Order: sequence, then structure tokens, then C-alpha cells
Amino acid sequence: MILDHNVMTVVTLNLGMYQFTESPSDYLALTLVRIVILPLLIVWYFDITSMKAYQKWIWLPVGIAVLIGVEYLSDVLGVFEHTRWNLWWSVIEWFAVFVVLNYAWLWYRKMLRKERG
Amino acid sequence: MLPLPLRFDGNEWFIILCTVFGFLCVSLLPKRYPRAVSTLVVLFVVSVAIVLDHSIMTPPLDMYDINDYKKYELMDVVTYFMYSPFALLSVYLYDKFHPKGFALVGYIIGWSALAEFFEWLATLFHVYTYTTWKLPYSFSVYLVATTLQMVFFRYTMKYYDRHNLKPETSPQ
Repeated sequence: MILDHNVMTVVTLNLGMYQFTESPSDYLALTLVRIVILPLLIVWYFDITSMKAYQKWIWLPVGIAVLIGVEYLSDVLGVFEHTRWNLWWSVIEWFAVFVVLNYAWLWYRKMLRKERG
Repeated sequence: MLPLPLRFDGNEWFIILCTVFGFLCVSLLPKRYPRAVSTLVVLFVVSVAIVLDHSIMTPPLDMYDINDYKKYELMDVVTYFMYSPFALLSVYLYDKFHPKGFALVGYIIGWSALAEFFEWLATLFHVYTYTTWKLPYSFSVYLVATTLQMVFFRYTMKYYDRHNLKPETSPQ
């Protein structure tokens, strides 16, 4: 959630590559997509692929495709608009988010195991 | 991508000094709960702050600005860690004294009032510049955020205990 919000704000405010909607109901939908749907999908992905390490990498293209699907569906439904955006940047964005999350998760698990003794 | 401060003045010093001093104070406290839990508390507070700020300070709402620019800047990232020591201290004291009933209500109102006072100080140093937002609105946000934070802390600690994760209770 932290990563996604930061990326979206930088891309919208600083780079002008996204345009947020002016309609209050669509903006509420955007907020729900950012706070609920995308983080839940990411957590679900980590949950179902956490049994074996290689599963995370094998299913990664599917996970990224789903997230990009939600992103572009939001665009089609008018929740926000990609103004100067390229599909490949979404691939890079979600891949980078996944890598950071994966290593943050591994670091946290290591810390938890260390504390358990 | 993330601009540096326009001028390194009051707001930047306020954020840096508060964050460093806050974390220093918290690190000097005797250990009460695992680092895994305090990490989650910090992440929770930063998440709540980012979600709220990015929802209402960006267009179309654009209710206030943080620091020097209307854009998202580097010091904004540090600003999100400024409240973390308060959160850690509030759950620390909650864990120590276990306030219940009216005492818990008073505890939450007290911490919300302190956060409100701290935000007022931050506005004096131009960390926040309001456009349509007003300082009293923040109090209701702090009431909800502090309550959520206590609920989150209680849930995390219960989860930790239930799964026998506490160092002192885990089997050797």
C-alpha cells in the first residue's frame, strides 16, 4: 500500500503521467482500488505462492498481468486516466514493487525467526 | 522525480529533529514487546498517514500541501516517519498500563490531543500549509487513527501470543 500510493502520487503529481478524476464518486472508487483491491491482490498472491519459493517467480507474470488488468480496467471505467503512460512501464512498476515487497517479506520473516530464538 | 527542498529551513529542521529525537527517545525505553511488532506498528502508522494524505492532499481534493512544493517531494517521505515515535510510545504505555473503559477513552483522547498539538506546531514551521483543510478537522482523524492503532496493536500482540511466538513463551 505504501509503495503503490507513493508510486501513483509521484507519477500523477510530479510526472503528470496519470490524471485523477474530478468526479467524487470515481475518486472514491480510485481510493478503494488503491487502499483495498490492489493491496489485497498482492497479499493474496504472496499467500498462495508462499509454499515454495519458485512458485512466486513462476506465477509472477500472471500476478503482474492481473494487477495491470485492474489498473487498465480502472482507466476504461474512468476511475483515472493514463495520459502519457506506456504499458511496459506498468510491467516495470509492478515488477519493482514485487521485488521490494518480496525482499521486505524475507527480511521480516528472518527477523521474526531470530526473535523466536 | 522527488524534488529536494526549495530552501533547507524551518520545516526541514523541524521534521529531522522531531524524527531523530523521537526515535532516540523510543530506543532508550526498556524493551516490552518484540521488534517484529514494533516494525508492524511503524508500518501501520506510516500506511495510515500516506493513505490519508495522498487521498486528500492530491487533486481533485487538494486540501493542503506538505513542505515546500505542491508536488510530492523527498522531505514528504521523511515526514511520514515523524509520527512513528508517538505511535510507538503510545502503544508502549498502553501495553504497560492497560487502560480499560473510561481510562482507555481518556487515553485515546489524550494522545489525539497531543497529536493535534504537534500538528499545530508543525504548521507553525510550515510543514503543513492548509488550503481548505482546518486544524480542528485533524482531531477527528487522530481519534480514529489512534483507536485503529490500539486495535491493531492488540490484535498483533494476541496473534503473537496465540501462535506462541513470544520469545519468553516459545519452547526451547
